[in-house]
Amino acid sequence: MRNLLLKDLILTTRNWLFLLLCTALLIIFVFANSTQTTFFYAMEIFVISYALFSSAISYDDKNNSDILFNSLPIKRSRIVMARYLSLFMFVLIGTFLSLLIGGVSQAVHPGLFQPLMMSAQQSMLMGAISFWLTSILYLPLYFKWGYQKSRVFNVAIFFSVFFIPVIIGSLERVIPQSILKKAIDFFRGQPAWMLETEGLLLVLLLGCLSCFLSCVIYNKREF
Amino acid sequence: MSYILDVKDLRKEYKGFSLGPLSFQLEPGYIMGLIGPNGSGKSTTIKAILGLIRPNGGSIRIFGKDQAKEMQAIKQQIGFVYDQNHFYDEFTIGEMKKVIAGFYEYWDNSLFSQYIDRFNLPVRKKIKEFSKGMKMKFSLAVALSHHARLIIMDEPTSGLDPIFRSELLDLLLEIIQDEEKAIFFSSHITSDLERVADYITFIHNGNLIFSESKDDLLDTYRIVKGGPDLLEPLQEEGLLTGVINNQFGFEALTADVAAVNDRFKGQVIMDKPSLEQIMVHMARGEQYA
Repeated sequence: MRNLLLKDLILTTRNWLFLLLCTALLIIFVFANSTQTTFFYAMEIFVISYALFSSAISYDDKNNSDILFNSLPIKRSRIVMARYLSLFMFVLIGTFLSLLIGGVSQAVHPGLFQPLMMSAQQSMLMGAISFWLTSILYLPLYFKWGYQKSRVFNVAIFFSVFFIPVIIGSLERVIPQSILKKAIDFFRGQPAWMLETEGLLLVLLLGCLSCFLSCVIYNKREF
Repeated sequence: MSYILDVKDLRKEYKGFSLGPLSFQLEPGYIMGLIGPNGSGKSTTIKAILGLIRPNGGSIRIFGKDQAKEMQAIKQQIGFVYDQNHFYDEFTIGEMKKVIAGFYEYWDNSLFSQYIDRFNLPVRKKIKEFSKGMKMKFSLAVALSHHARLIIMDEPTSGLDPIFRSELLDLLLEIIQDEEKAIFFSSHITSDLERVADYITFIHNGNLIFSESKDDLLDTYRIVKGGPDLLEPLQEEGLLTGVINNQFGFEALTADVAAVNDRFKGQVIMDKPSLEQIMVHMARGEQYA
């Protein structure tokens, strides 16, 4: 598994230009719209991690790596687990880069990130959890059909992250007494640390289920 | 007899195509060529041996071990070369080696460097900048650098220039010199197999036509050429396979040289066949059988 993570790490280094571009766009966005700085870290981590993840699986597809790795002495379940572990690696890289950019931005423009609706740490966690949730929803489809056939789902799940709050918001206005609103109120009433823990536990639980499902699917695949 | 590769009654069913049952064996110290026209099932056979597809029946034993149960241990001692490059185009040789080497218990860095030097491969260039021949050389270097006992190659010589093809064939002969290793490779360039293979396994439309020693094959079969009036009596006696008619008469393959000589001596011409001629006539015979 270590070698597969190393492969993803090497592939990451092929994307520096793209990452710089993403970062520059995000910085422009932050400076142009300082009311949205709360979500700077969340967006930065989500976008960078997602870009690295998408790029890694598209490189795998381009090089037909399933044939290569399945010819090597490694179990298929290990190949699947390595892909799930890479999700943590991408978030680590995203976090490092966003801290770097955040630090530089604040040095250039002190007070840019004030006042924050949430701490930088919470914002980062929000980005990481969003990325993990979208990826673990997508990966069983990827292992079932491969990158080419499943990428439409990847894009759909990616954009759903931006649209879900809008949908929930409009539902809240349309049905004020709904179960949905009660659920939102319930979560709003909870302290931040509890929400963060619940989010991480949800990722862990869904991640394990998704990984198990992907292992079953991938073990049956033929190349 | 301890076989390096022992395939028994291998079957694989697809919609519109079925492979097998195939049975063949390969001993250490030998090269076996797998031949057959395009779409005959050569790549499917190789994929089944490497565990990329699941057979519907039969068994594959490699180094005496059941492939289905001990795949990881077996793959430690298999080197593979595919007809297409499956390494990451964006990587350099050094980067790709770092990724691959960790999978093998007996990866030998110095042996790898020797092959890279011998093949004159540029270490700093990305694989995407390599020619087809260089990519094949790199695949070979990887396949040979972990002391594999069985080398499996799918169409390794297709698309290569004659000089490198010749080098590659020499290298294959060199590899089996210690009589502990074996090579199994598919090709439809029969002249390559004629030069290096000890055994030939021929499949056509998924069916095994033969799996025999190359020398026996070339000794057993003859190309028979004769006038059109001789075709009917020869065919009636079942002596011909894969008849090809031409303006002068016919050309076919026979496995019963003695019978043809007894009955038609002086009336027909008999020549030693090439592997390609055997393949063409056998395939034709199978097609019209």
